[in-house]
Amino acid sequence: MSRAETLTPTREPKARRETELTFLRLVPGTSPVHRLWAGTKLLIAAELALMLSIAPTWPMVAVTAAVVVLELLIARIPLGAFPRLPNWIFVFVVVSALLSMWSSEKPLADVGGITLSIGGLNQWALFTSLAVVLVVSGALVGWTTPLGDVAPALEKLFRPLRWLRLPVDEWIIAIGLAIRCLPLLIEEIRIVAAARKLRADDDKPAKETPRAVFRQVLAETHDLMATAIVVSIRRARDLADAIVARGGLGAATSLPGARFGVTDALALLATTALCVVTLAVLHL
Amino acid sequence: MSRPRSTPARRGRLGPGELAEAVVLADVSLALTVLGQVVPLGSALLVAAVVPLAVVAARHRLRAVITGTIAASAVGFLVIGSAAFTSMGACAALGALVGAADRRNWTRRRTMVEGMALLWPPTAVLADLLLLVFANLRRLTLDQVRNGWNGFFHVLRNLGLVRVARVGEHLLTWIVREWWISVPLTLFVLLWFGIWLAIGLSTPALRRVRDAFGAAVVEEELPDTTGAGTDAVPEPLPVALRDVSYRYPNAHTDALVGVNLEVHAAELVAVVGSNGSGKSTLARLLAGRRAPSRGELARPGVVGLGREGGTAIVSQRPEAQVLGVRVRDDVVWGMPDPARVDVDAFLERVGLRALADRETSTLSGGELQRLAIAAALARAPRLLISDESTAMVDATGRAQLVTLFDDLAHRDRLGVVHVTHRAAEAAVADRTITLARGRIVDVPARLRAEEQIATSEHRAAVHIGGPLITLEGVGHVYSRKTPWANRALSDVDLTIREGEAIVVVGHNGSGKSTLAWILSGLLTPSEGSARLDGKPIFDQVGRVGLSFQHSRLQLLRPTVLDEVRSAGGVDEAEARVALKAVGLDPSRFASRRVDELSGGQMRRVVIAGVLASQPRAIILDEPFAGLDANGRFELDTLLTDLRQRGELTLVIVSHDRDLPDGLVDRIVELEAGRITRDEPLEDARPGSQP
Repeated sequence: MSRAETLTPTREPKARRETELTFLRLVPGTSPVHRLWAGTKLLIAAELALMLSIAPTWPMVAVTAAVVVLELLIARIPLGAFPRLPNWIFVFVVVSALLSMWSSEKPLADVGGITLSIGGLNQWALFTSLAVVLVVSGALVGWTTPLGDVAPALEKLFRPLRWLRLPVDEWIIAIGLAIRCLPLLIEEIRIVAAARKLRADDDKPAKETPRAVFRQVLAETHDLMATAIVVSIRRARDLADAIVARGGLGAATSLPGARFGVTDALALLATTALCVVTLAVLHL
Repeated sequence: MSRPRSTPARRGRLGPGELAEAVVLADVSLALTVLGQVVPLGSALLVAAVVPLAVVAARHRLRAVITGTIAASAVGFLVIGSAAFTSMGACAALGALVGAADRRNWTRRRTMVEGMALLWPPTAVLADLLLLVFANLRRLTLDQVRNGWNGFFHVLRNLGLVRVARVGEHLLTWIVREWWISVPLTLFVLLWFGIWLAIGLSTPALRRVRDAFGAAVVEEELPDTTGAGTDAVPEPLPVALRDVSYRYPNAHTDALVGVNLEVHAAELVAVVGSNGSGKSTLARLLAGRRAPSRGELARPGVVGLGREGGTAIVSQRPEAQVLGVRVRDDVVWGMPDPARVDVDAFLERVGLRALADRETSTLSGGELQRLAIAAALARAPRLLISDESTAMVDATGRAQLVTLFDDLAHRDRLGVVHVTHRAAEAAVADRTITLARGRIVDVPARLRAEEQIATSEHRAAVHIGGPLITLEGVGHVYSRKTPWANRALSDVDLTIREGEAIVVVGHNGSGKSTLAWILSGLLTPSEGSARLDGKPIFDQVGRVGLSFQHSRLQLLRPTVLDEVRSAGGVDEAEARVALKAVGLDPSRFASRRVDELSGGQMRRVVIAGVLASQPRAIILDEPFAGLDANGRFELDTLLTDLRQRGELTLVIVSHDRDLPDGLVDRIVELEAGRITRDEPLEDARPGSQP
């Protein structure tokens, strides 16, 4: 943000609409979905994504959306949990809808002398809803699963990869640490960005040529990146010290926690059956 | 800058250092990718996300890049879905290329050519294969692309650009029909451009990282005494140091000189000293992480760092030593058989039983330190080393920790070594060792004298003017209207007058950091109004200076003078004046790299930058945290000086009540987001009241 923008006069300090990232945060409460084993939820999300990739059609979108909505309802996820996206995303979506409407995809309709492409609009709607279902089905796992359960669940899911002699232990330890460090790093990036905002030297190139502006932005990016990375490496060293203090990287072990149970089997079976039947009906 | 850079030669499993760096930097990359999805012009961030992985590749093996990428993709899947795999994969490929090229000193041209030759064929084949397998998705996506562009050409046609539209439509038809050629071709262009940008963005960052940390990355070689990787039975106590000296590699002086010391079971030994006195080095030697350069260090068995019956260490930064996501998981992290451990009992021992299922990111500093001790106790250590574990913790937390150490030594018969810069904490110790300049000195006289200087200084009156910052009915709720809504402040009325110095005190989570962000305009309060000179503060970001607790985050330029110039928006002469004002000699410090500075010096450079920008007021967030008596004294003198020289308005935010006497005129206390006390300080200097 340039200084000119931040200094635009406003009469009353009114709270601006904040963009809010609500991913990876557990929605408080408990429900059958919360109680499912983390691995089950990951498998269901992966299954839905696979089905939509194989058959990106309205019936499949309807079925997967139904599964997701059902999960949302059972888990009692309030509307407030959905991320508040910045306005430009909506502008982008609307513009792409308008462009699709002017395409030549059949069927075409004549509305007040203007030819509109219903086919184009249809495909746009399908494409957009598919993307929404995919994102929400992934976010749902985060909303209903304590983050601490994710790595142990993946450890079980990845077990077959051990037969291929892949370093699964190393990956699981890394995933656990990645989950643990992400909030700290986001906080640090937030502070670096704030520090940048407080500084007097907001992008003011000597000459306002596009080239000068580009160079200024590039130099600025370099400085911010370098700071973020140097600070992160220091954090990594602390982390390494902490690992050494615990006797080094052992095996990827975890406390006995939730396990694959009857409910998990039922949920997985029901989703799979639903998807397979839809697929069969669509293609036979 | 063409020094030879070697290829990391290690093989096999990643070591702690490699793994930690790979994970943390891949996480940074993921954070940039996620922001790239929601911020306008985010695609620039997507390219920037290559840089952290390029750093991993330049410093470590390919294996580290792969492990980091897998970890970040798995976490990313929960945030942005399967898009995380493709974007992290792309970042990893480009990063690995640029990093490896940097290590081998390739020219830009060579990197481009080799990169295209290495990366494009597999990418093209993989893309075509995926598009072939997921035929329906391919059709839908291509149709969507075609429709969008079709609509665009339709608009062009209506604007009269018929010819352009016609050519475009032909091209589009070809692209959609011959996707198996057009997609790889598009990838070719994207990849070329991607590599070009990645080189441009990464090269300066890689240079800065090399400047800060050196080119070669060595996994810290632990001396044999730790017994790491062996079956040797740990037996760290009693430990005896005879005439031990230690000098860090590449250092010109000894960090420890002729130290004699014995530590036995069931005793609490306090090691007191100021920053740079060698007390942390002593802790490292006791923990077996360093072997003495000269002299003799004898123990009956190996140190067994982090092993059962061995040695445990609790260090300074609370959040840095937590490894588990949940409190419960952290206690057993890395233990061979977690199910066997009575986690609740260990948490009970440190008073954290009720928090067993909380996520560690929600704990306060003091709680985190106690958690670190619980994790240490789970390994039944014989020797517990606290390396400045109380430095970043508030008074209540400190008292709890010291009591716990006392208890562990005298009830559980552990040998406890507590390293601290606060002489007062040594009161419960059986013995106190005082270190100065690497030597054991007899009496802590020097320290006491320093503490007294801070209070005996004579101070002159300061003129206090009219209201400068006014907060009326200010409240703030984070994540409003979501299930995570969290009220940080309510109903805060506060007037800060020109020339006034106030301290805002409160525990962790009392809302004092939120208040600092609002006072500096970085945060718009969700209720009430915050004004500077009668206008909303958030419209005047930068007019109130802020020094964050973690100073390094605020130093964005490579050298001290550059930093002050850029932060203050001033020329070189003014920057030098500002440096002098904070007590840093410009002729010595101007060209120093910021990463060479000590914590206290970094804080001074930040303050110099803030001063140079001539702010209306300065907010200092925890300015004294982690400073020893000497550092506190110097900073206090500096701030008092600055107040007397000009009409500096000062807000100090602190969890600690014991600020130097007479520095502030007024105290504001926050509790659970409300002001519970706001009054002049009795012992404020005469004449400072309006």
